[in-house]
Amino acid sequence: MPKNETHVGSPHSRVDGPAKVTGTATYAAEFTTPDLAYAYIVESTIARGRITGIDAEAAQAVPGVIRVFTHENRPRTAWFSFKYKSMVGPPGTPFRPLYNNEVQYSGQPIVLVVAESFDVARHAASLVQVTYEQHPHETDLGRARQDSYVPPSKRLGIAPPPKPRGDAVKAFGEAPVRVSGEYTIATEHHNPMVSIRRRSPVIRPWRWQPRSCSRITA
Amino acid sequence: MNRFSYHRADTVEDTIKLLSADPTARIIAGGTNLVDLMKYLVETPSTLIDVTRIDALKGITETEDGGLRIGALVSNSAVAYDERVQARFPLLASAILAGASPQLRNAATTGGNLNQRTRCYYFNDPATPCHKREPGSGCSAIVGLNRIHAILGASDQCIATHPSDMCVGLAALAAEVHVAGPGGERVIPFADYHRLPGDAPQQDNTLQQGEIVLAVVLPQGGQGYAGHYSYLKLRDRLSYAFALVSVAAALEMDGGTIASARIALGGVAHKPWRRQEAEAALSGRAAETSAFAAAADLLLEGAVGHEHNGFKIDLARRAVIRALAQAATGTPQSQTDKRIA
Amino acid sequence: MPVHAIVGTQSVPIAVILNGEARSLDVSPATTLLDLLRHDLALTGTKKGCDHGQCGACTVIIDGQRINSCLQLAVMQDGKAITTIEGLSKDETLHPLQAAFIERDAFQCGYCTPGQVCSGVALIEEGRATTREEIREHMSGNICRCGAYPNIVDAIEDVLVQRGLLVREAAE
Repeated sequence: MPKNETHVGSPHSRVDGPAKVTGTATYAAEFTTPDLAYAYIVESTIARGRITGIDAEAAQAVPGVIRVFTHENRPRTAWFSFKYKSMVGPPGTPFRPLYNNEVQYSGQPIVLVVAESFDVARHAASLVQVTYEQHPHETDLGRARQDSYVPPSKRLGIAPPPKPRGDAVKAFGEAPVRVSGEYTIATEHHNPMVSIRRRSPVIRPWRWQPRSCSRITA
Repeated sequence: MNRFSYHRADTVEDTIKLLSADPTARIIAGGTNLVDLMKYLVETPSTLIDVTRIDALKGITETEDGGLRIGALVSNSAVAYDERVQARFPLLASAILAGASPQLRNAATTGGNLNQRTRCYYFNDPATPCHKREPGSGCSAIVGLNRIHAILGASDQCIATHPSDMCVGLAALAAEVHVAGPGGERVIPFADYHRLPGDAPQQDNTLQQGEIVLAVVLPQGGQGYAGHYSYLKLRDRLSYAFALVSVAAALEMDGGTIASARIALGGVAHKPWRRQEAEAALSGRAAETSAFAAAADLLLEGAVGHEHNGFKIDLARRAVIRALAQAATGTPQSQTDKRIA
Repeated sequence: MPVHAIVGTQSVPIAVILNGEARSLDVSPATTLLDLLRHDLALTGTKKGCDHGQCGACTVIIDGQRINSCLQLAVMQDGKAITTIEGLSKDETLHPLQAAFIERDAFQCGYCTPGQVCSGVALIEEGRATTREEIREHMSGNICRCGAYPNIVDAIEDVLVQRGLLVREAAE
């Protein structure tokens, strides 16, 4: 194997260094546009069910609010689910924001308050009243384990996993020393720090975020 | 964040007047907890009273009887790095440096540290029932994720813990909280400042409507523990995390014999947890593991675990023994090198 | 005018020294210092990560102290001297820590970097960290999701060594 010591594991001065250490490097939320508006997302407070009503009157009445978007008044958006699919997402039907009245998870974006300033958008969002028809939910993987199944080996749009090599069960059974235990770890997310996730303060057209493979959808 | 009125108060009297007139008004100083809670809509004050200009709340001064008076506005950093505090009340300095981050300690104040709210996940999420946030709505933690919750002094309405490290040190040092209100000034012993949840978990402490914390006073007597103390904090990462269990241990030694002891636990109850019986049991005993273990058992008497936090009982017991051993040998836990000796 | 006359939800005038320059501003009480810097003043070098005091990306230096700007109300900054990442370098001359960050490759995506640098500059001025272990502890309020921590410690250590505040341990 070729030696790569001069490049791997040793520091390198980068062309983007001066911009990044002086705060002049621009990230997604830092490109200015004339008449830029700000948005604040209202999230679902139930894990599963249907939205039965959204009262956005008080929010809409706040001076500086441009418009409050819900599934009821949003502009036409793509219908086919593949239009929402990301390049690296798993198979299945991707989440379609403000698509209909269905709540699929707690914290789902259900209302988008657009205003002339961030403070106004955030304040107005707090005034939106949502009513739900709540459906039973299960958020504990341990309890849902009984319903688990082996996924079909071939899934549309995703490469099958590589074939197993060796026989782990057999090797473990024959091992002279065996250490066995069951460990449970908390859910871990890798959240990039750049603020472009939920509660993103800036509305932009579809744009790829440089490092996180997530998309701005508003 | 909701809309609120902003007042810049000149004097303690102004503040009391504003607070008395409006039960939804809140005092703001460092802002590290309140602004956070306002962003989550956990706190929606009608009025914020900015007290940061009030000179009477500033500074650390000597008291007549040889103690220290720490003004409510003194930052956590300023207390922890004060030479008098480090020399005479090093347990307090150590407890403060075990908590938060340098940035937060620079902003957070002494009064604010006392009055910070629990970090119970459900208290901080207005979408969930919480008796503390909304009395009568229920407790999500008792039936939910409760790994970080209380094992002592909880009620069937609330199992939240008080999140402070500083307060655990102040409890062990038997500090006094000086407050002022419409009825004048009064002094609250630290043990009586925070309360257990009972059937009023919305009340974290015994401050009355219209009252403001003026200062925390460290009595001279706490200085006897400067040579033998330790603040041992156990958490999910080495820095910048709230305690699963923390122990403030302080001993007055007479050779190899314990003359008197103070032990307070953090992360286990709605207030820093002290028990006279546990401390009394150490008096006159030789500083050895059997004595520490007996004290730990007394301190943890009645501890009850929930679905995810049962481990805390054993963890606390071992932490008490270890912290007392560190205190006895005069080798306090470092807040930089986190290896536990 | 007595200061307690400031009442209500209207904008409040404040005067600050921002990166060495006196500024008079009108701010809404609900605006954080971070949003004031980024939205109103277009000083986007200060980053918004968590907006809850957990990540340190918004760290600025107020009256010599490093502070999370996301938890500070702008209206409370009246009379204060604020230094942001934009104020650390003069023209083309970088602060020694900025230069050390480049030299030591102390970042990848760079989003946490302005906060790391402001925090590190304050750490150096505080003069309390004299070992790598202490640098790590004193930088615990700044999270880096790319995991550039060892290089960040290297960069800070370099500047402390330059200033004679730290003697580098012998290389293993």
